[in-house]
Amino acid sequence: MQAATEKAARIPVDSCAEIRVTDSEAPVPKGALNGAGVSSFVENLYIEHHDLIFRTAFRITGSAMDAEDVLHTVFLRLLRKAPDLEFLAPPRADGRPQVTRAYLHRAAVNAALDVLRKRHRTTDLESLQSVLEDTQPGQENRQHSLELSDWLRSALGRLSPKAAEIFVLRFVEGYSNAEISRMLGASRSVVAVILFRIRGRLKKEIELFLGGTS
Amino acid sequence: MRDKHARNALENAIEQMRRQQAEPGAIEGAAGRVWAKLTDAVEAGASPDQVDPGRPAPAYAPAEPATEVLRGCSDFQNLVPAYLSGQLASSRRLLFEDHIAVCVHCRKQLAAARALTGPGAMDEIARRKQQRISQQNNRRAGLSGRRIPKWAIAAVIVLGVGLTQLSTLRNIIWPREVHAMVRTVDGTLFQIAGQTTRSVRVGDNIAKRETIRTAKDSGALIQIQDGSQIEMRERSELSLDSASDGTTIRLHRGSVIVHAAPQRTGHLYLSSGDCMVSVTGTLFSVNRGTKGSRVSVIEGEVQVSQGSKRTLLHPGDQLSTHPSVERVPVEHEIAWSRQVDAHLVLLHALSAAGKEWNRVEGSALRYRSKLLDLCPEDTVVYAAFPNFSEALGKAYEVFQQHINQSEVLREWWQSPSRHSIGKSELEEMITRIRVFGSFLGDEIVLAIERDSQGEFQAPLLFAELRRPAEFAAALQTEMGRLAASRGVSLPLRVVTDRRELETLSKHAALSGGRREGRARDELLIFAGQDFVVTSPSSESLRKALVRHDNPQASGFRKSDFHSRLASAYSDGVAWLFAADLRSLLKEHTSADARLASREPHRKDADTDFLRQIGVADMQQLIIEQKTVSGRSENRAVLSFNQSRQGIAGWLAEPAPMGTLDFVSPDSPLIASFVLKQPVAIVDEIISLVQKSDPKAWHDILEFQSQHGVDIRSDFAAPLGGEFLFALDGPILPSPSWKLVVEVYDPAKLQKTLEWAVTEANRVAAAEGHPAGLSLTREDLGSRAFYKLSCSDSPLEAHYLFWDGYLVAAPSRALLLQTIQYRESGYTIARSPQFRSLLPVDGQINCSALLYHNLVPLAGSVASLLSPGGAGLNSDQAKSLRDLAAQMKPVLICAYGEKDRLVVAGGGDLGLNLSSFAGIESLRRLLPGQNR
Repeated sequence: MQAATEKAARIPVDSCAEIRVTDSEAPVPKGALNGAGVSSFVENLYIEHHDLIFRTAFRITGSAMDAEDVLHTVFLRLLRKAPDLEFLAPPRADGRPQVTRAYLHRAAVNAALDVLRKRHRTTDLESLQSVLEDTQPGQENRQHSLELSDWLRSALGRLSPKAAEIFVLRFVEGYSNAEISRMLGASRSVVAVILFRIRGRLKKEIELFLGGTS
Repeated sequence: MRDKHARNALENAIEQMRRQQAEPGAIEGAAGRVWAKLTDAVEAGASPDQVDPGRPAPAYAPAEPATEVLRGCSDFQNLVPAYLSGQLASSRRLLFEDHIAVCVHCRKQLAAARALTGPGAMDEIARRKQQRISQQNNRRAGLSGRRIPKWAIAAVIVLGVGLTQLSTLRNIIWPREVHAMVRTVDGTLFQIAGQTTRSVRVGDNIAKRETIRTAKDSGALIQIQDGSQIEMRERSELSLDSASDGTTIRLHRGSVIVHAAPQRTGHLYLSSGDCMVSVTGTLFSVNRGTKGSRVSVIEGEVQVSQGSKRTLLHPGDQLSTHPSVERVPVEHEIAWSRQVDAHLVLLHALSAAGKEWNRVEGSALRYRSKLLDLCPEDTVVYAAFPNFSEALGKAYEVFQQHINQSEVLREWWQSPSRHSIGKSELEEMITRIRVFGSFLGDEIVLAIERDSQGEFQAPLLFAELRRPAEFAAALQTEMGRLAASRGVSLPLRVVTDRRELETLSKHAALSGGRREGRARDELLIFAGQDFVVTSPSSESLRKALVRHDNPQASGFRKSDFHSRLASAYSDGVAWLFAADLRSLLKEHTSADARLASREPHRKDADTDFLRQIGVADMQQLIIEQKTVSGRSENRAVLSFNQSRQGIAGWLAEPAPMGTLDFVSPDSPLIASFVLKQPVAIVDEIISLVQKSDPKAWHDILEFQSQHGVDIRSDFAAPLGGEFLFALDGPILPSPSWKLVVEVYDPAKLQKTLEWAVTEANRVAAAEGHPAGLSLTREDLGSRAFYKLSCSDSPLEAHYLFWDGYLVAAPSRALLLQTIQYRESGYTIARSPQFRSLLPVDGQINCSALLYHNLVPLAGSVASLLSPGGAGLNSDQAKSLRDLAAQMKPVLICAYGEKDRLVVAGGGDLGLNLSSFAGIESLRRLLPGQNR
């Protein structure tokens, strides 16, 4: 019974169309850059969007090195998918490749969140945990050493991938609920509910983090 | 209040994050670096795992700048040996383990490498993994929910059984019964089954698959139906089961000493979970515990199989299945036995005898032969084999010495159950072989002559003679003895006098020219001063005598055949069969001379035809079998008098086979070859057709002009020279075949194929049939897949052009998998098992190879057969699995050298003694033969 409820609760999130480029074992196809069409296509994408991807990744990860990795990852995954690039819609009549831009933006967000998650796994969990959970007074010193944005990054790393993505798209990257629901193929109410829940959870966590210093 | 504070803090955090801005200079720098890396990755065609910056990025933190870069699965696979031997640097090791965790192919390679080098437990793991994978493959093929057609199972079983053991088939159809009885119990013996525990008494029967266990401080002796005895130590547990050709003792835990009675045809098996012991009549002990099992041999020969590894143990030898189980003296291992003293003496006596026996055995290679010169001038067939009677005699002598020295051994030797044939008969037989063998030299030669008329002469059998006078006398005595004891007189005549032979020859000549009347029914044995020769023809013997007197004058010495044989001797000869094909063929043409004189043009056409197909150039065929440094070698050489031509010339000289890269190590059947020039082959066929059947040629020309095609330039010209056909993947419900052909001009070939389909449909339409064939193209990204299907048949073929090859398979999934094998390097050519089968010689490539390994095939079929399902019960399914375990892979290679074809095979060519045993057990099924 409980399992059924859980499942029902999860359905909306899971039903969001999986647009993220999934990791496949396939190597970069030979000639992915040399083949006519694909080459110039990817190159144009790179020229046009590397800036957006890097900036997004930098915002989310807070590190130039990680942002560079994200840029690399996004295009590497794109090249892996090179034979199937049809899924990237061609530019519209006015010449602005709207869908492609949104797609890459999302890919950048996801790759950057991957970095946060990995960072979360690899950081000394014990110390972080003590920072986050220790509600004893005398917190201030530690609190100062950990910036609020750093805290948010680690918190995002602990969220479920889908939730973190929606949160970042909404609050960091500034998409509207409607845009997000279109991007993810989920209904607006689902997006709104998820955002509400995340905010609630993050508020609780930040409360613990601040440890009643008010 | 607190809530508001938290909300503000969260807003602040988000705001901080949003405000974080990268510097424009940093962005452009990073963009340049990333683009360079991307270009590199694409050029290398690398698997992105190791350039994925998710892990420590090499470009920023070049931890190991000096070491080579890992670019793909094959690089990781190259690290396997270093990883296994623990020589990998810690950073590399981390990378390697990380990759192994995500890459199935590399994991398999690692498991395979481990299985080859590591302990038997690893074999088991690899085998189970393989089984699981084949199960998954089958499930993927949609088999799980479907009922498998019985005929398909039957076909696979018959295929497998036909190649190895008929007895298994028998066992599947009529499972063997197992009877055993408790002879003695010292303490308590339980029969346990689930919730019930019952104590077993002396005289009780033990049924098939009943589990019995000895209590603490107890022991028991069990006797099986065939007379074998199992002595159980305390706290030991076992059950008995039927095997394909005998009984299996399943040792669940504890120690046993098995005194296996001589098995008439089959084997007695002992399975300890991590190894399988098979014997035909020996004394050995097995100890199975938590860490593994240990097998010790007291008497006889024991074969232990662990996965694909087989080891032969002799008295005093020991084998353990896990490295943590160390060797202990065999004496300690059997110290608990109640008959330990007898066992011990036997052990010492036999292990000493065995060591000497090993020194005796094995006939040496022969590097020269006097007998070769004695062969007639027109010898067309020559066979030589070693005189092994001496080795046999010596071995027996050594054995007798040991028997005389040891009382225990003597008792054992004289016990009545030891021999299926009478002991005295055996002794007499060995003595007689030894006596006659001792008169003879190292070699026995058979020669068949074909005279100038094209008639075969009676075969001649030669051997050197060491003690001529005694030999003749012994032969006479033997004949007399046989005549007296059995009342038969052998049609043998021993001639020692040269004049007697000449008289006989004259008589024969008088009594009807070439037909030798009376002499024909009699085998003449001429025992000369230093050689003996046997033939029904006195004239042949006389001539051999002349050659012996003056070997320099022998016409045979001047022939090519002789020099070829002499060169074979210079490499060492054990068993040899040779045929002079040139003379055989020459005789063939001259035998038709009468016909030819009437129809001269026909004769010319015939000779032309033979020359065209390359048969006329054949010179000699030599087949050899010898054991070099413990490895048995089989080799056949077909030589030509000039460079190979015609059909014989089609096979290219040994060349690398890229086609093997498309086949996985699990493939059960592979046939691969490299042709010289497909165009040249078509040319040859055309000229052959032109000459032999002008009308057919005319038809072909007409066909070509009618359909606007040129077979030579459209079909043959785009092809490279490599071809491969293989079965690879699930075999049911439809076999996963694959065809790989090297193609130099894919566009042209594709055009030709399209044309062929259109034409076929056009012709069909002209005859009133609907268009049946269809060739469709589907693009998946940059890959173009083609599908050839037929409207009235469910069968279809998919193909694509990849890396210069045309790859065809029955489904697109299989095509993708095939390409993945090539990309990941998970291929048969790199499989350790395949490589271990390659023949040892100077060649690095081969021109053609045939490989079959039915083990995974039978394994996957067996795993499909759940008890009760598909009409097979658990016994039968088990038998099939046993069968799979007993099969061995076979590899035969052919080399097309300039003027000869060489065929070499590693391993035993699918023939072993147990397969004959299988036939024997089938024979016993016949009415009246049963037991």
